[in-house]
Amino acid sequence: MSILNKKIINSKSGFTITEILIAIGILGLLTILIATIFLTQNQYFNEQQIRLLLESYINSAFVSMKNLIIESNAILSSYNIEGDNYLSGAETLVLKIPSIDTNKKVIFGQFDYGVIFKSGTDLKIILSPGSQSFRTAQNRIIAQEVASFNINYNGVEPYLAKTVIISMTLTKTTPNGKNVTITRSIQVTLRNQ
Amino acid sequence: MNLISDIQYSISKNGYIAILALFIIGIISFLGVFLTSHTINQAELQNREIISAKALELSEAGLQKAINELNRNPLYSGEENFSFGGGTISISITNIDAQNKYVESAGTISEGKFNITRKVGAKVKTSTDNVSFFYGAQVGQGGLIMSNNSIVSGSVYSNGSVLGSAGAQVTGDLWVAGAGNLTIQAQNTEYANGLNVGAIPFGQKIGQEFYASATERLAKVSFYIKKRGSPPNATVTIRNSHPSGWPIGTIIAQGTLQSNLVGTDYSWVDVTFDNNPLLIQGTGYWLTLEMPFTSQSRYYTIGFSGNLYDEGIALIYFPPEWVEGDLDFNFKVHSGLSGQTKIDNVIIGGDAHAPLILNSTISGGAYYQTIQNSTAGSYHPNSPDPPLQNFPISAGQIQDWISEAQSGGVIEGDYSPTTSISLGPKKINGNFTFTNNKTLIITGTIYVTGNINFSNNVTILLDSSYGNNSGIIIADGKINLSNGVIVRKINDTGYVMLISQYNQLNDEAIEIGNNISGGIYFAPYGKLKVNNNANITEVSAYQINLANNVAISYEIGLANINFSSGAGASWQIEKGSWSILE
Repeated sequence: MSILNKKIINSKSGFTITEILIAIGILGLLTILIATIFLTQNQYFNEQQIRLLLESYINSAFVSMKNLIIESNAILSSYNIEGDNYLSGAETLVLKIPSIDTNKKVIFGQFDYGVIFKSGTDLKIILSPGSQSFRTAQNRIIAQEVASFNINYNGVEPYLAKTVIISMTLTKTTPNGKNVTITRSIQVTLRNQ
Repeated sequence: MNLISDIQYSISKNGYIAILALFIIGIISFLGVFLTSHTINQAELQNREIISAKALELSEAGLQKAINELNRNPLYSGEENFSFGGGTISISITNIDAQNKYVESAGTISEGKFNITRKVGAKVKTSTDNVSFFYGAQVGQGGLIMSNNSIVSGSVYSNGSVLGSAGAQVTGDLWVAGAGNLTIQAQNTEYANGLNVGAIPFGQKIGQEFYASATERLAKVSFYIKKRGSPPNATVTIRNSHPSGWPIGTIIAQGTLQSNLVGTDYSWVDVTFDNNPLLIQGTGYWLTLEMPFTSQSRYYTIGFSGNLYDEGIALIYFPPEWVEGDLDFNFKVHSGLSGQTKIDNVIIGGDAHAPLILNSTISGGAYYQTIQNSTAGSYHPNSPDPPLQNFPISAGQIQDWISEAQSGGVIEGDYSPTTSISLGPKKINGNFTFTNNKTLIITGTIYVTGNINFSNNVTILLDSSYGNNSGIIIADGKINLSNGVIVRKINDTGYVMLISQYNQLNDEAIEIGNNISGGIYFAPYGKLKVNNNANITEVSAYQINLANNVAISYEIGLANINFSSGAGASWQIEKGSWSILE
């Protein structure tokens, strides 16, 4: 036991009320300070986590879209897949892609058809492969939390475009009610057009 | 214990604040570590994507390199692991056939802990130029002269008269265009600059107003024009004027600007029409050129001057209206007089079409304005005159072929090889003489600035690298083949075509001597004379003169010939064959 502690324990005089109030005040300030740091850190953590999530959505969506667009040989004005008609426009891209064999080489004269489109806040890909194509059919969401999705055809009709610029904005709200928004663009050239 | 003593006691305990602080620091640290690790993972993923994209670009570079190498050396078969752009590339090439190969290119990038390989593949092919010969003989305005017993096995189209003699025979149809003695009605040949037609964002249609200077039949129009890429054929119309001042009046003649006749450099390209309406002196008409669609990479560029053609204006269509350009396009309108051309003294196995038919025997129908001393299977008086027909090859096309030949290097001075040789693509700056039982194997387009003389049993044939395609020899001077030259084709469709650009309408540009066999011959600006006992495949010239017993044997494959530059041809990726393999 230290000399100081012995002094305090053995002391009969104790602390004055002023000393105690000062101690409580310091303790309170310290608690508020630490709580603020903690809450701010937590909010920052949430924001960053959401930002990372949105970045991963957008990256994975761009990879999926790029792989499909780069191998396409035409953008179609419209195409009907399983009874639904899709029209190429600002939020929908209808692609005609040469089919590939098991070695991923092109099968001439055969085509797969793909659609990339925004549905609510989801971005979806539907791929309808040709009868002999090695590509697998897809009908999946490639990104969520999509606030806006825009396809720019470089000022020409979609069916004439050789290059498209796709811009996406993803937004998600943190538990504290703050909106996290990221916007990215990608330019892809149809390699087979 | 009262409150004050409680607080006194608590405060008196060791480590309370430290525990609280450690607890909070622990939580913050945990969040920090979690976020940092998550961020590092994401950064790694993104880094991986970036490296992967770089590797894909590298594999693309490899594909382009393969094409460049193939254009220098068609036997190039690829290479392994050469350094390029911060990574390595491996190229492998598989031969499909003489005109097609499959190229695989793998790009690898090693950065940090990543070693990523991406691979692309595409089919590459040599470029070919399609030409259609629909007739055994196609003749310009100089007409066709057929001596005794000369035979064209096939059909003949002539813009001038066909004059036969005893036993001269055309086994198919014989057409003689109506408008002879062409003159230029209207023109603007001053070139200042070019306007893209069918290119984004320029107009899809243009119109040029002109006035007829004489009352004659429209024969053809010409544009000073070049192309980029392979644009589609364009529609050309002649229209009456319209009160709006726009070129939207009634169409009186319609024709097609054929893309394959337009070169990549400027040249005058003719367009003929489905009929030859009468243009009335002093009347205004519109000439329009219209593309089916606009494109960034496939369009025409037409030459124009400032406002130099005083008779008419030029308009460009920017939907929804026509806008006046402060210019006049480079154009020519040709016309001729009807009834100047005829068929005389020919035995015709099919139909005969001409304004005037004399002294002929026609197994099929005779279509004419006037017929004398002739017999026919059926008679069709008052038939419209056949329109003028363009040659199947244009000056622009020949210029492109010359450029291909020049890409293979130049032989300076006259060239007379003393042994059999393989030659092409090559330009010979002089005369090319080849004689005495030797063989010339054509490995690419040959361009001779002087004369060509082949004689005494030499054989001309294509290298096997041509596959089913055909090859070309071009001379600026005369071409003379004599004494048993054999021009052999390979496979069913691999022909050799000899072109003379010799420009003297009254002189022989090509002379094919005794006992010559095979070959396609083209002399757009001179005479082509075929001597006794030659047996060749196709002839086209301004004027053709067939001597006794000459046979021209048209073959079906001539309607669709692909001319290739052979081993020196330019290789390119076949559209729609590119894919990511890895």
